[in-house]
Amino acid sequence: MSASKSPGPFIWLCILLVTGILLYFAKSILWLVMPMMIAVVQYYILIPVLKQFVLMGLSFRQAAASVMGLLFLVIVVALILIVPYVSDYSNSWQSSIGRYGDGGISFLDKSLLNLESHFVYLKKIHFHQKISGALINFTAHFAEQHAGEIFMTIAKWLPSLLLVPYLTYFLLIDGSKFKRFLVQAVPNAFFEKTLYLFHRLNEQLRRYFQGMLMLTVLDGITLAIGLSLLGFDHVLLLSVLTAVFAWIPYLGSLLGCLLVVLVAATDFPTQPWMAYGVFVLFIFVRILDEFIYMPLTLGKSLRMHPVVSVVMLLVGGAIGGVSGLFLVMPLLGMVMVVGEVLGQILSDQRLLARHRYAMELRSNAANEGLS
Amino acid sequence: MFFRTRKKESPHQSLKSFVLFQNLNSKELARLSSLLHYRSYLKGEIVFDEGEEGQGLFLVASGAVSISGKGSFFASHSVSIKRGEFFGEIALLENVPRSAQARATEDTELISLFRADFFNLLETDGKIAAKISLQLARYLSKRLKETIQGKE
Repeated sequence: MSASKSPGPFIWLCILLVTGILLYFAKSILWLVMPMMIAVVQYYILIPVLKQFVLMGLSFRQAAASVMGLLFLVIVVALILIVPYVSDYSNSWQSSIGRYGDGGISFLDKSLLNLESHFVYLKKIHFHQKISGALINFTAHFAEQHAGEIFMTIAKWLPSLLLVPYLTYFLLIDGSKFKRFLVQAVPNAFFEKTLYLFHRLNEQLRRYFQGMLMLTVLDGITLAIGLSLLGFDHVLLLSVLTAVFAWIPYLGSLLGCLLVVLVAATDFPTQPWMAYGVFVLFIFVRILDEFIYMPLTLGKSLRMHPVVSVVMLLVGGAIGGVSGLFLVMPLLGMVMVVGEVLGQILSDQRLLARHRYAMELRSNAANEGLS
Repeated sequence: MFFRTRKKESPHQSLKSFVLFQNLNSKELARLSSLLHYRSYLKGEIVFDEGEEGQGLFLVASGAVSISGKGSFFASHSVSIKRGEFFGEIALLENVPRSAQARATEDTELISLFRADFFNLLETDGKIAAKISLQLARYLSKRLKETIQGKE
């Protein structure tokens, strides 16, 4: 079997369709899909730690329990450090959000007026008036229209997030049992290919999630250095937020950049070059990502054609909203590997013939002595 | 329910009957057991074809398997693998096409050890993997000697 045989257009079409359908169904059970996704991410991140514990002489079960204990400890310590910070700033945060919103609108206002002064055509169509009006209208009614909805979503999600450590623990101790259970159901003719499929799927996801974590750390450090050189406050918070946004390919960097531009426009209203500095920094980080960080961390895992990535991101956003944007790439990666190998299995006439022959043998054995 | 039943031999203890695993203790056998796949084949069913990319080795738990092929060695020989023996061992070590076809000559139970799981074992449980590797090396050296003697 040739593992490297690339799938044809029909298989690719099936892969894209199945990803869309899965996203559509995942949307209605997001309360379960998201904790499972986070648990899978945690599983792949914790696997190297688990291996270290096993190497130190612990049994597999003891190592899994120790890893979860360590994770719990890290979360508790992080909460102890973060909670006082959050409660200290909680009052000022609400006003800060409004302030940064106003700052962003003011920056946009100035930029649009500037554009109008250079391009008469834009002035004729009242470009500045239309855009500013729509934006002010949106921000004015945003809180009253969506605040309740956002609060309810958070309240609905919090209990399901408690599932995450539970799911992670069982993935750590029973992940291989679950794989064996699934492989058991596969007919003999496809057994070895299915093992290969699981192996590739596992490797792809492991490389992707571990790589994404490394990429987030590298992006976070680079952005933190860049933002502190530019003279920003709350550098850690900004760099972590923008690095997490970068999990959404292409679009995430843009969102992160816009967020920091808002901060720049508000905190430094008289220094427009700060906002342009942020643009330059993000372009620099994007170049670093493309040529150094991504080859170092993600390698060839889930690297697909940029057009396919962008189209699937748009599809993911349209079907699943913000969660769809985060889910679509790992989901597409999984479906891609399954699709590729299933395509190879289903187009392998010899394997299909072997399966038919085995079924005939089984049928003959079952019918023996009946007539 | 008030009678104490005789303690049964744990399922992984039966693995000790295989030459490849005979040096493993009961704890190591239990660990290894969680990586093995158990498959049933009917008489005449093909386990794998010549030229197919192999993913691991097979151990015969019951029944028998015949190995035959078009290659220089197997064209003239058809080897029968019986209970307690194993085949497809090269695929455990490297990603190469199978050198012959394997077919069950009677209703057969096989146990499979997948290459990726074995490599994983090398990382996490080096001792178990080393014991298996040593037994495999002994087996391969014995086969090499037999081949050389056969040529002489």
